[in-house]
Amino acid sequence: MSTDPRELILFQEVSKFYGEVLGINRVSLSIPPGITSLVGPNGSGKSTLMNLMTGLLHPTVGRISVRGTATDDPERLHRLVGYCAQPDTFPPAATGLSFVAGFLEICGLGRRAAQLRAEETIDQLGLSDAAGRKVAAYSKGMRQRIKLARAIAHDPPVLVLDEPLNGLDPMARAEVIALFRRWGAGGRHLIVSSHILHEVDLLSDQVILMNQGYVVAEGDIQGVRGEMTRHPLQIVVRCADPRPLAARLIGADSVTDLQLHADGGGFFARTRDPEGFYRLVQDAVLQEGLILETVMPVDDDVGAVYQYLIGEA
Amino acid sequence: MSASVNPIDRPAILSRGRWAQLRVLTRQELRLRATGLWSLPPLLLAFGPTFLLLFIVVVKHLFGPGDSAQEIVGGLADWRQAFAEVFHSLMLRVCVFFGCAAVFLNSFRSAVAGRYLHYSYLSPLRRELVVAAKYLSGLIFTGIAFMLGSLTMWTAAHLDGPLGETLPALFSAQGLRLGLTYAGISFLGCLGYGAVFLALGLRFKNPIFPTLFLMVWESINLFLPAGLQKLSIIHYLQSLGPIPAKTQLISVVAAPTSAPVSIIGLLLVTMGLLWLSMRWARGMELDYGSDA
Repeated sequence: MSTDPRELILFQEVSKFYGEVLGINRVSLSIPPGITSLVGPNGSGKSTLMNLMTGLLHPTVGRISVRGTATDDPERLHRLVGYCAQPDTFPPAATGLSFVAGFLEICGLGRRAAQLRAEETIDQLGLSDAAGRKVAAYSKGMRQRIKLARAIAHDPPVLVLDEPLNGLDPMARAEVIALFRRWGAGGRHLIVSSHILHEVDLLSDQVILMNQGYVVAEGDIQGVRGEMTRHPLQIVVRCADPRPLAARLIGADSVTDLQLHADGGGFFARTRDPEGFYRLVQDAVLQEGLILETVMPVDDDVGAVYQYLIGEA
Repeated sequence: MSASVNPIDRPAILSRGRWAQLRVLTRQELRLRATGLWSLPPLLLAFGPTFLLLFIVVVKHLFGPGDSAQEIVGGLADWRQAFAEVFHSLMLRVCVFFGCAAVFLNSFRSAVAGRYLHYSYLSPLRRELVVAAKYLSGLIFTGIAFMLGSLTMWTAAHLDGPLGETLPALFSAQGLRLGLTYAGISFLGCLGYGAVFLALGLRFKNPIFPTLFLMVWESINLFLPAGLQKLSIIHYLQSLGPIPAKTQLISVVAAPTSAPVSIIGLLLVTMGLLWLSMRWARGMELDYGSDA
């Protein structure tokens, strides 16, 4: 992983207080390119972290840099960053097209070029038909997409999105997730906050779990899950005759618990050593000629990790 | 929806200078000001005195000619003196003051209350430019409105009387010079009050009390000692009046400041206040209170 600050988003011992109220406390992060999800309950500090990253808030203590640029230099910072913030509000009388094109003109494009680029971006988000209409008349999903259009219109290498999937219908969600995946590829940063954990799972290369202003875990989700030794990994195994396999596994050191399914078609195991567990299963399959239908961990997703970490806090 | 975004011409996006950004921002701010009902009150204030004078002329015309204003006050010179009193007390102290308050106090407050200021702050530009654009657009809006309002007021005032005498007086070199001077004073009023109200709107979450204080200060200005009178915008605007206001009967009026000093002083105060506003805007944080 690169350690070049020009390729990272860096938080160094950052705290933010609103008077005496804690926003975030002593957060140190080094976020590499790729898709990073911020996960945490309401008030955990996700929006504060994003607002600090984009210069809307200033840290009380600590330093932040986005790809080598300080967040108190908006002129340079916002050439690098596109931010789709949470407020669902717009300048009065703005149309979709004027909202995006106006921003591009400020970015440096001439009026005609800005217009063309805005039309192109709006088209990519499926809003061409509504581009000339006032944003105030848009549905929630359309407003979300036009904010997204503005955030990506200047092709920034860092995209920060606060609850970007809110209000989108399932089809639009799938399309936007596909857009994010493309965006996250090729060395860009994509920072997303979301409450919808299975979508975070689909989307993220890494997660930052937050609670009450603190970062409680960060990294790729399997790595985070692997470090949670207090909670053995739960694995479901389905096969036609699970008893011989269960008998071999139950005595193994790596297996802490094993329960046969009521239908007799599989079992449920807990292990503190997933690698060892999978090796045992593999050996048994090879030696006894078993045919497995499924071997799948059931609590190594963001939802489970979130539940264990935040639930314990 | 297609899942791709074409790369942009990055050199082009980096090339725009700050003047060009200021031009674009000011244009956008002016468009914002032109839309919405809230731009109506300043316009009503700008042209209110004109409508009032026209109303008087029309009523006189409809209900029989009485003495004209000039006849009542006793001649053109005295009538122009009366106009100066009305201009200072109505146009400057009321209309320009409250018109600028309505426009400039809201420059930032309305964007914060409407929760859309972050779009400006998330653009690749110095925040000082946002302040400059909001000030310039407000100045263009109020400046044009109150300069036109002053000129039409001056013109309307000449309609009350025998037109054979008043119209030549209006279009004489002196009449035109006086009209343009009043328009210029209104513009300078917008310049000074605009900077004050922009700063108040940025500094205070609820700028009503500082505005009331300023209103009282500017209103009681005539009753203050001569030295304190000079700590006000209205003193310098009145000093620029081509015909001094005669309010000595109830107060002690400080000696007028010379025109160059008044203009330079107003410009310096304006620049100082804008510099402060820019500093405050640079340090301003946006979280709208509930999204943290």
